[in-house]
Amino acid sequence: MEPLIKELRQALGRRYVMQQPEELLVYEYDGSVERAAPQIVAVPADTEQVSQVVSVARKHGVSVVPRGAGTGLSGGAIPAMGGILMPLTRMNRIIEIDAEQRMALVEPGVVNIDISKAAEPFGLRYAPDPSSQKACTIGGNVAENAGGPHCLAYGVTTNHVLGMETVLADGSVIWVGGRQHESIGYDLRGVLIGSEGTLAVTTKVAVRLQSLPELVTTMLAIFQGEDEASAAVSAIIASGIVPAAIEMMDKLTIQAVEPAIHAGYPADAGAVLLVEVEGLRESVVEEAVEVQEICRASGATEVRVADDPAERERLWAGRKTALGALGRLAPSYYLLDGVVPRTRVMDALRRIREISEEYGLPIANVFHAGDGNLHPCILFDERIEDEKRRSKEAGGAILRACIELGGALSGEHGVGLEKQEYMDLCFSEADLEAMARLNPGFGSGETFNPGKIFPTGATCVELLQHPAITRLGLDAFV
Amino acid sequence: MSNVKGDVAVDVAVLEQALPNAGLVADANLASYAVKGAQPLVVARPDSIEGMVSVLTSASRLGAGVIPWGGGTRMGLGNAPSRYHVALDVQGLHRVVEHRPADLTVTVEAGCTVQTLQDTLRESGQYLPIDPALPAQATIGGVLAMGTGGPLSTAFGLPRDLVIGMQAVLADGSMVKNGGIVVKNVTGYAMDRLYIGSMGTLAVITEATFKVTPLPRAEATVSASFGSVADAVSVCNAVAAQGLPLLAAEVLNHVACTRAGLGGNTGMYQLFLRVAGRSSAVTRSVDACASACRDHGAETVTSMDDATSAAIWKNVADIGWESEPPALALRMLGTPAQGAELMALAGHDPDVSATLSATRGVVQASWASDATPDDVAGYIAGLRSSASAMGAQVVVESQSLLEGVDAWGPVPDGFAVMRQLKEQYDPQGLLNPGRYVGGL
Repeated sequence: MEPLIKELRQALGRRYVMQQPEELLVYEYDGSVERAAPQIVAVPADTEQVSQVVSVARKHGVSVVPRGAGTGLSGGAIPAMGGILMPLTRMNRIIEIDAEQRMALVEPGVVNIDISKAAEPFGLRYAPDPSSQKACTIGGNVAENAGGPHCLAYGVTTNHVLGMETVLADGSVIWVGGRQHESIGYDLRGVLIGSEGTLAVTTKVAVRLQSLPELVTTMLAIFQGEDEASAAVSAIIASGIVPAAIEMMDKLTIQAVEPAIHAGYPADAGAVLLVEVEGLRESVVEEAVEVQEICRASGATEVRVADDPAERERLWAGRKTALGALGRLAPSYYLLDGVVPRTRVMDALRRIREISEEYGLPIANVFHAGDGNLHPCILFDERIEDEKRRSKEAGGAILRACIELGGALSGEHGVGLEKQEYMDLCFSEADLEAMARLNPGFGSGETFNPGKIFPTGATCVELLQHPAITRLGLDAFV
Repeated sequence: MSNVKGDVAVDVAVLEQALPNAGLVADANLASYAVKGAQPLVVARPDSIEGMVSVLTSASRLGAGVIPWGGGTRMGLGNAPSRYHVALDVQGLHRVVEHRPADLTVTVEAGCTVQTLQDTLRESGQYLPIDPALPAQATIGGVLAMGTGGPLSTAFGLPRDLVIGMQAVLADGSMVKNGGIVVKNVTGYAMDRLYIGSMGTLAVITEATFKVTPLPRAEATVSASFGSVADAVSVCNAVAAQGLPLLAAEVLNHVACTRAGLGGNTGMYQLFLRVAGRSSAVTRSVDACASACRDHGAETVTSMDDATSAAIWKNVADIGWESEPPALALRMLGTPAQGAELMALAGHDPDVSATLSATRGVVQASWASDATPDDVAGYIAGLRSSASAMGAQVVVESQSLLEGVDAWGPVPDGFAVMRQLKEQYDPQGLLNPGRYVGGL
């Protein structure tokens, strides 16, 4: 280990290479439930240093796990096999905003929302908006092909990234895609986006920017039950309107949110829909009226409408604070990310209710209804071993239900450590084998983020190494 | 004509024996499957995924070179094949498998034509926002294998941006899938992105699932004529900056205009802006586009509604391909800011028909068979040297073999990875051998 540390320190400087257990502690978790500590944390300042870290790691046969803000929910940034954890958060410059070409060139450590803030004076924004957008970085977004509420109308990260500068496992630096909208050769850009940091490291990102809408109208519709709300979602889509976002909160979520933020949701509300339409003033005004009519016709007991920013923010407040509010109901939660065809949302919610009863754990639902992207939130107490076990089993049952309904394991959080053992529910051996060939194609070997995505046959617990945990004891950071 | 320096062990008898269940076409017109003068030994047109697997499994066992065929509208792309034994016509797989209007998704087999798919979707008031040339012949598989965009890419991105699931058969005959029928999905690697735009050199796409879009309630086209491309591009930037619902923005030189039956004055450039949405929004957008045109010195500004507008865009999408593939076509790829300059480069030849996708920096240039430049190789070399200096690429498409011209030009950044990927997915080099970038 010593020669490796020495070489890394030569490349990055002493203070940017850490190896003391107390220094490593904050790097052994992300937004998921898994934990594992790296042996070394190396924090590069630029592309050249990233390349040096990768080359040194390769030389010593050690793996590198790239990390953004660590907000990921599937364990993508957990160093499952130890090795070097490489946060890219020092590389946080917005290099260029080209208003005329509607493009921004940024470093991977730039926080998602900061791109939109920098673009706003030019009347532009970066469209994908993961719920963690105030913390998550664009590099992490690229790795996970992140989504967000407004992806209903605009698509996910891959639809908005023109190209990336990338460091390969041999330390070489290439551009995949670029400022051009079309290029020749294989779409390495498209393959790397969503590859969860397993094939290469992103060191610069060229993103498309889009014009800020002239008018945004947000509507909050209150329903007696989830079925009525789901029916409203289908009716809106069927009418030919594609809102910028359609979000749903179920009864349990509402019960958690109301005491926290006093949004004024009726005590007996069964579901709340948030629908946002935006664009040219003329369209927005018409679409907003139609959405309200559809919601009422589907059984909404009340529809609130806002088009000034402060009022809109108030309507969104319940949705945005929902996860935090759920903390009031139980000490721990396990947030899932399944996806079904949007017309099967009602069936999926029904199955989730059954699973909740079967496993004896409350499950709240707050999710992207327009995309069919569910986020069931299983409430449990992690101090009770049996509840912890049941929460994982209930999670598995929900994912299986999503697949049975024609859906997939993950809409926007990625596979990571969380879902690798479920991959064979979706994919044949040939499918997985075809995916596995990307690794030798990129010459990645075991260099980047090993032990992710593909089924190992082992459970996560067996797979993970926990040096820091064993040294310090679990209570040290609970 | 005979097959290009093929493996001597692969002959018609061997193929006929090896491909019993693969839909071999008896008495096929081999000449109609010629690629740059090379003809296949046999034509296989399987009508099931099993048949497709069977062809590729057998071809892989024999080491036979396979060229997948869709509607054949873009077979002039790429270099001459280094081996060509089997023409694999995917048009036997032509079903719209499942349209789910309420989910805004459609699953379709690769051999389905774009037109057939659009006709199906239209019954439910939806469409797939792609607009390749010759939609009645172009197949979904072909469009995806090419991966390039048409005018609608201005608003909807490239075809890859609309794909949510894919089924393909690899060179060794294994059938693989990724994605699904959900609009948001990050389960596993995005393998479809690898196959899309790879020109059938890594896998044969057999089925794709797309997200589709409601048809707009109204549309209109604003057209104006400019003395310079740069002015026309400035209009597009101004319109885009206003957040208007711009579906397409193309600048045509006068030859392109004439060929599309859209008028056209020598030395002038005609801008076409397509807007769509609710009629109130369209009305305002038309006014805003027209004033942007006038602000930038347009000489005449006209606007057309709905049916007339749609008809114009059908013609624009077909430019160069009015009735058949052009003798010579170039696709010049730059940044949006380089569009005007690329258009000027292409426009040097008086006979060229040239269009610029104004917000995307993509120029499509084509020549009728009787009007190609005298010294094609020299002409292209000159163009490439100017384009390379800007960091742009020039892709050459031609029906016949052009001596001394590589179809793709210099290999792109990351080519070493591309070669390794080819090695992984088609180690025997059977799919479209030698035709793609750098001989992939």
